Amino acid sequence: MDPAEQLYEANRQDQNDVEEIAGRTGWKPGNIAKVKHHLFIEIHLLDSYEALGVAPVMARFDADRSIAESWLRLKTGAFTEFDLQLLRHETAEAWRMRKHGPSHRRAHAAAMKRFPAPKELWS
Amino acid sequence: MRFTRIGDLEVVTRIIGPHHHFLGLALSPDAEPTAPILERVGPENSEVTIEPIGVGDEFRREVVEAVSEANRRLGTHFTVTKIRYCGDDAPVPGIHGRLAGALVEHVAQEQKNLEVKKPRSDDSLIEMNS
Repeated sequence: MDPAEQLYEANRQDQNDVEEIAGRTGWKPGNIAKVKHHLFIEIHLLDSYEALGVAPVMARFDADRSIAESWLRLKTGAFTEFDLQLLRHETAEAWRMRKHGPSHRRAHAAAMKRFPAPKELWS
Repeated sequence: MRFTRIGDLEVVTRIIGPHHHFLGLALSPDAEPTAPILERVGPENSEVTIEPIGVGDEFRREVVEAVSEANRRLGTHFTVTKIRYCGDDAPVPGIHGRLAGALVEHVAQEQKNLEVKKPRSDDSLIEMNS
């Protein structure tokens, strides 16, 4: 299994991370749980490149090491402003998908306007 | 990652949530290595802009080197003749090289699967005699 996918699977199994991150960041546990579900568990309509000829699929997000590391920093309290920005972006994206339909392309574009994904996490 | 084919391009997409990437490569098993054509597309339509030589050279190099590395690792001989990328994708360092390597692995595996499926000549004889 891909190392990032292993980290994602560990996050899916983790029963304590939501409470720990809520305690460290001051966010409500319910909101952290929504972000966790959105990032690691939920199956989405991935349609970002439909206009380019790539058929939309229902699937989980691809696993990414930087996001897994960000989640760990949030859990241990070693987080930065960029990790909080990731939480805000994913919260906005998940909210948009619940309220306005399942298209990830549209939800992501809307979330980027208010809470741009922190490029510092990947530099 | 998801793999698909669009015209002469092998395409890989990767969507992680906060960002996403698209890479298409035309891979030839026997072309002479030259600087590949670099095509930029937007996220909302497939209109192609061809980048002149001198623009995106670092991008070309990253992809070509990743394909060469995958060739060495897998024993394949692919040459990149065309690269298509989405101009709106986040500029994450090294991501297009990783995608190019994964794409070569995918295409090599597909070719291997096809070879396994082809009936051998002695199998055909058995079928004819039965």
